[in-house]
Amino acid sequence: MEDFDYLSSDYEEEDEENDVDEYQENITSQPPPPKATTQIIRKESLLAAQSAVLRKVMELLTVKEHHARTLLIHHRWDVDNLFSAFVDKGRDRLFSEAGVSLGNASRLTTSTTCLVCMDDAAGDMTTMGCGHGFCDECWSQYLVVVIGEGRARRVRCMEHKCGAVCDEDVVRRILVGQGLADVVERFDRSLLESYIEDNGRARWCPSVPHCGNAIRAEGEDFHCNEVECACGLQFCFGCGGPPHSPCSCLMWEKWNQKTTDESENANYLTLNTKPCPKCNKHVEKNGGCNHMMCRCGQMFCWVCGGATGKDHTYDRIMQHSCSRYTEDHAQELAEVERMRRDYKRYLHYSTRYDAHARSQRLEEKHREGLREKVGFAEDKDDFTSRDFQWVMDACVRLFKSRRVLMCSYAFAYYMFGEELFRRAMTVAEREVKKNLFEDQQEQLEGNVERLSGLLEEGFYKYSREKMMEFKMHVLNSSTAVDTMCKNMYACVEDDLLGGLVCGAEHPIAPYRSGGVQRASELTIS
Amino acid sequence: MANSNLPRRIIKETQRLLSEPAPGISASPSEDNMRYFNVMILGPTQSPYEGGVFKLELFLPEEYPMAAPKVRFLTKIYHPNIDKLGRICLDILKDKWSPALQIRTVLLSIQALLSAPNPDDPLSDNIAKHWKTNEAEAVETAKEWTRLYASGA
Repeated sequence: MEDFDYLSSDYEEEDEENDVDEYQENITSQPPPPKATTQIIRKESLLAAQSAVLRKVMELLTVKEHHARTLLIHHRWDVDNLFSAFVDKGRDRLFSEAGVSLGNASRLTTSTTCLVCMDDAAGDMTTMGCGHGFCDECWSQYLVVVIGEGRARRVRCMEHKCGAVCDEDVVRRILVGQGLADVVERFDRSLLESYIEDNGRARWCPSVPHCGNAIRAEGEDFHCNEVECACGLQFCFGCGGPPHSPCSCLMWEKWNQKTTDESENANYLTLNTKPCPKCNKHVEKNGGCNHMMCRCGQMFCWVCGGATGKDHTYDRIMQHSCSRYTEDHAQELAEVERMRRDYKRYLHYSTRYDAHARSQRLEEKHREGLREKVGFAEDKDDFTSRDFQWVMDACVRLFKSRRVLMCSYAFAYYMFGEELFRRAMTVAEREVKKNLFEDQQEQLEGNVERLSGLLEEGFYKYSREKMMEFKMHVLNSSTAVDTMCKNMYACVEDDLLGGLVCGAEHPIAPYRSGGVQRASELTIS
Repeated sequence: MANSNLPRRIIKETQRLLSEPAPGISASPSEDNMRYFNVMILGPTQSPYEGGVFKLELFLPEEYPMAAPKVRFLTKIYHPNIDKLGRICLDILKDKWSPALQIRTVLLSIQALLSAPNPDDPLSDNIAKHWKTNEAEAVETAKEWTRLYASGA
């Protein structure tokens, strides 16, 4: 696509529509996949959300609530998974694997020896549904330890090799009987929060301080999705980090590690310094000949790093001859050369990533100034239309696309590097893909900078005609940026990752013109 | 005195360990601390540890029996589930601990571990690798170590 015209995108689509048959076929043969939707679970709705799922299981399997909970915790609150396990394995195996025992807990009144404390427990023994009985004091001590360690969701019977999960009501009764109401509270909270923490389709909003909300996702590909919580925080549902598409979660994690840890410092040291052979401090050569002197007084040769004596002539350093070739030496050099290449490559991408990150911070500040300018413009009387929402919309578009552009450099670092995709494609394939992507990136970059430049103009002073022209420019530029982002994501999905076997390991959150999907309020049907 | 409020269970277990010890195992509490036991396990017959006398220490934490006892080999031993600090990889000492288990059952399990090393769940990678690639040679090393470090002298 050469010489992209900002207005032509609409025409292009119309051109495609000329081929009516193909167009209709596309509609009928490819029903859109069910889109991932997200809902907010607040502190107040957590119980209702959990109860709705519990009820389903209680009705279908005709079990009590605490049995349903044990089953669901074992199956990570995935009702479909639970029901298919029920069909595949049958009721008995399903129950025994999850630790559900349907027997009734009972209290023994005859005097028996408790096998944990070895005391005679007169009248205060409790037998769990599995049939194992111990005295209430031992039970409560055990429960305090288990619940204190955060294992409240699977309190197993005390008997060795008995996997039965203790009946919730009995647990509460024993603890209350021993005056441990605070432990009961902790137990109940843990069971309640299990619905979020043991649930593959739910996660707490990562806001700090925590807003108290959790997000639940439905539909296909729910894990690669970017969402916005009611508190306003946007995050990736897959990893809980900030939105990072077109990077996959794995790429983002690696990039973050790389940019924050010391590994790049270490690389710099390897490439630019040599350790002193005596004190091991890193020495950087600041000019002069290859005969180095460390601050500790040790002399060494910069070329090979070996210790030398103090005296040297033009053709010879005393106690030293590194000019003779050995295999080891050549290998070492090749290794340093490889590191140097990798380091330069990383530097290329990280410099651009950082530059966009900085621009984004500046533009964030600029947003206030922009509001002011809009204010000035709105106060002027000579405009028939006083609506300047399009300026702020364009500003939001700029933020979103700046972030995409920034992350695209981290993406490219991994997509075309050795670390994650070394064996996934041939050198030639990589080169083709790289060119394809860089074309997209270049176009996006150009358009983002143009939009950024436009929004810095002092437009509030413009005459009416000039303002109309300016508005046209801004709108066109915004649309172009949006289209470019869309194209880039399509390129990533179809051309870059699409054909690769390991592409599935890198799910990418979809691009949304309207921005990150806002989670809707939970409705319990 | 720290030992005066020792739980009845510990006292009972100690009495039984002293009066009817398990074969090949001796465990006696330390004089200053009744929760600290000096343990000796004889290497099981027909194992590479046969003829060896292995010293261990066993400590009952405050939460015992709700938490597992802490056990460690003091004698050097070549075994895939025991590392060089003497720490033991045994499920009942970790997540499979049950308050219904006792010192006696723990020590019997350790004795059984000496008879049946499990290189698939290793604590010491090197020894486990040795065990899996060349079992005969690994067994020889274990015998050698038993002679060198566990001869009881």
